[in-house]
Amino acid sequence: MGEFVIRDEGPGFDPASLPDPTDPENIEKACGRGLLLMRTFMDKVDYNRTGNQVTLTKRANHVRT
Amino acid sequence: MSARDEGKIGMSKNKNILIEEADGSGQTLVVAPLFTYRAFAEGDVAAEWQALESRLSAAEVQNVVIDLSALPFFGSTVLEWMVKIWKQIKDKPGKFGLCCVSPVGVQILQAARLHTVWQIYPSRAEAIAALAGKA
Repeated sequence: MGEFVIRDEGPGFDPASLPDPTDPENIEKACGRGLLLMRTFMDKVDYNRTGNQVTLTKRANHVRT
Repeated sequence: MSARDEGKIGMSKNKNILIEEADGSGQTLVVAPLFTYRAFAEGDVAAEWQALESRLSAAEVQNVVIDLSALPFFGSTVLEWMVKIWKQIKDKPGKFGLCCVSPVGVQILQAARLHTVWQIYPSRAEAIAALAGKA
């Protein structure tokens, strides 16, 4: 299992408040897909309370179907 | 021939984004990103991106094929880049399509639901023919 912790010095944000980039209303928006891709390709994505640190977990031998 | 191979034989002087006219008229452009995350971080792509945007705004350019053969995978920055090109072409209005997308690339497009609005072709030739209305 691999765990990656990424933190910055910014004020953070609430990941739950982000618009759904797959919604037809948002599909033409240029940005806003990073979290979606992290959630698609990692096994676990956790933010801290402040929202300025994300922990990505990837298990070995995980086969996506 | 892959986009990277074409770069080696000088189809474009660009290092990060190859641009090629699909026909003599310049109506359909093939755009092949070669860049890596490092290129983004170092700002190498910015000047080529500006030149591409300028080229796309030319009246004769109607259609764009993005050839992804050099990218086994990509992230949200490349998606952002492709959405911007798509919107610019759609507003003309022109046609937009992708070709030579890797299996992981298809997964990325499916996750973003962009496969519902973009046509994906197996080869560059098929994409060019389809956008030119020959398929």
